[in-house]
This record gives sequence, structure tokens and C-alpha cells, in this order.
Amino acid sequence: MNQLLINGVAVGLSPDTALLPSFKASDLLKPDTIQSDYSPEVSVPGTSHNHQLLGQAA
Amino acid sequence: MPYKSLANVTLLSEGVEIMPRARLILKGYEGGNYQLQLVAGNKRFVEALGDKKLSELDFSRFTHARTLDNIAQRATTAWAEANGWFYELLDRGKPLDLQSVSPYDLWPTLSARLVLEQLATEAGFVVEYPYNGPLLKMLMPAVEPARYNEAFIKACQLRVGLGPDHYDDGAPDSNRSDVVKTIPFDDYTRDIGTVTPISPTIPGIYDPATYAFVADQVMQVQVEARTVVQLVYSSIHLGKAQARVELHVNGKRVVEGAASVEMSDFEDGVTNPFSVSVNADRLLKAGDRLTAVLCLAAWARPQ
Repeated sequence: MNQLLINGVAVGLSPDTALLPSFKASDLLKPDTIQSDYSPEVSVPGTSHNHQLLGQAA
Repeated sequence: MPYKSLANVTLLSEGVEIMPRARLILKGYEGGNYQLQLVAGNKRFVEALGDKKLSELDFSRFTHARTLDNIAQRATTAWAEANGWFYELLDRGKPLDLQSVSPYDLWPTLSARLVLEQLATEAGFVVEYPYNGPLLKMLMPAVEPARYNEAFIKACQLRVGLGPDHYDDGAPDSNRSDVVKTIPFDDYTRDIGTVTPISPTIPGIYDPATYAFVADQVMQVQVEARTVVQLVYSSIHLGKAQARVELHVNGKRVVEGAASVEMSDFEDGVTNPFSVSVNADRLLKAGDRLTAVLCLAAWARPQ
């Protein structure tokens, strides 16, 4: 069961949404290949609550 | 609404934070659903810095006029500890007489810590390091005194010339006092049209009626005043004439340059035209008036 918080406010996710991020570890001996964590792309229903939260996207 | 993003996003799994301080990327909106992706982790300090050079770091909070008072105030240990930089006297190979050091021989020295913290701040990073390491002792002395950049100098450049019909008709030709007069630079145009006349971007700082340059703010000015003089005499009993150009700030002479002409240069009571000039690099306060003054003197050759 995932929860996604934007500034502490939960985004309304579909019950079947599963967010399984990929975690990357950086090799400190290779500073030119620093890795970032990322999640797969997910869909979130366009409810009025989500519109309000995501509509603030800059 | 593609590719907008929101910061300060947290992903939890079963109540446990698994991606804190992540960034949410909104990739689009389709079929009543938002397409989202989360990213988190490190970013490269070097990439965040971009192509910025050390000289482009923003130290504008330390901006000040390079005056004696300001140098003295910023040359203390207390100032260095509080601000991370100070004016310092260094042996740069030039002979130094410690009894008569000019304050202008003190150039700024930055601490490595100040530079590193500024680098980090401008890249959006916070730097943490041991407070007893060698970094705190490293200093970066200036390799040359601060200068205005070329664009600023060009924008502020003023070039004025002499208009026509400037002569001093001194009627009495004997026992005459030296001639002292402000050089009447009153012409923005130039006869020889190879150089475009340049006037200052700030109007009114040069007054062609009083031939005075008035500093609108504290500034370091580089001045060259040059004029051509031709003397006309009713008799040629004189031995030598001298022309001197002085630069005056608020009516007081600060520097002078001289040229003289000999009797042998006279022909039919008229000297060959000769040039006289003076150069100065001078700090002006706001409101200081800079004028160029021409002084003419002559000595009779013993008969």
C-alpha cells in the first residue's frame, strides 16, 4: 500500500496503484556516474482533489 | 501540462518513507488520469555549477568603493573572521618600504572557505566539512587589483574635443602674467572621423559650458587631457615658452604635464604647434569636479 505526499498532503491514488521505485547506489569511486532513484510511470485519477494538488505544478 | 514538476514529495510504503524529498514529474494528462513519475537522489555538483568561473561568483554583498577608509576598515583580523576576506599586504615581488606603504598596495584576499561556500550556495548545495581541517587556513590572494569590466568602461567612456575659435588674445605683450585657463573641451565631435565620438551613458556628467566632468558616484577615472598650443608673438625676444596641462579636482591641482618650445621654433612670431598632455588614474567621490587647466609661461632670453 503506497502513499504519495506532496508537501505532506496525500495524492488520491487508485487502489490498485503500486509504486515500486528503483533504487540506485552511486559508486563513490566513479563520481562521473552518480545515480538517481526513480519510480516507474504511474497513472493517478484526475479527481478534484488531485487537480488541486497537482495543479500547483510549476 | 507535460513535464511539470513538484518538489518536496514523499513516497511511503506501508507507512514507511522510501523516497523522501523526491521530485514528482507530471508527464501528462490523458483519459482522465495524470501520468506521474518520481525521481530522487543525488545530482552532480559539477553539473549544477555549470560553466561558471570563479570570477563570476556573486560577491556583490561585499561591494564597496576602494577608498582609504574602506580599505582600513576591511584590513583587520576581525573583518577577515566575520566576512571571509580582507585587504592584505603581500610581498608580490615589488620592493616594499613598510614605513611608507600605500593603502592601495593592499589587495583583497579571499579565504578558500568563502569561495567554496559561495560555489555551493550558487549550485544549490550546502557544504559541510570539518572545522579544523586545512581548508580553513587556505587563502586566495588577488593577483591584480579589481578593475571595471570592459563593457562598463566602454559605456562610461567620454571623449570630448576642442571646438573651433579658442584663442586667448593677450593684448599686452610684455610683463604679462602667466596665462591660466580651463581647457575649453566643448566639442563631442571630432574632425578626423576615424573614431566615433563617445559620450557617457549618464547625461549631464560632462558640462561643455564649464568644461567640467562631475562624478555622479564614486568612481575610479582614467584621464588623458591633451591639447595643441600655438603661440603668437608680436616680437620674438622671448627665449622659451612653456605650456603645462594640469588636472584639477574641485579646483585643486592633482597632477600636471608640461611641454616647452624654444626660440628656434619661432618663425614670423608664430611657434610651431606643439602638444602638451597629462595622464591620471584617480579616485573621485560623488560630486567631485574634474577640469583640465592650461598654464602658459614664457621666459625672455638675456639680451
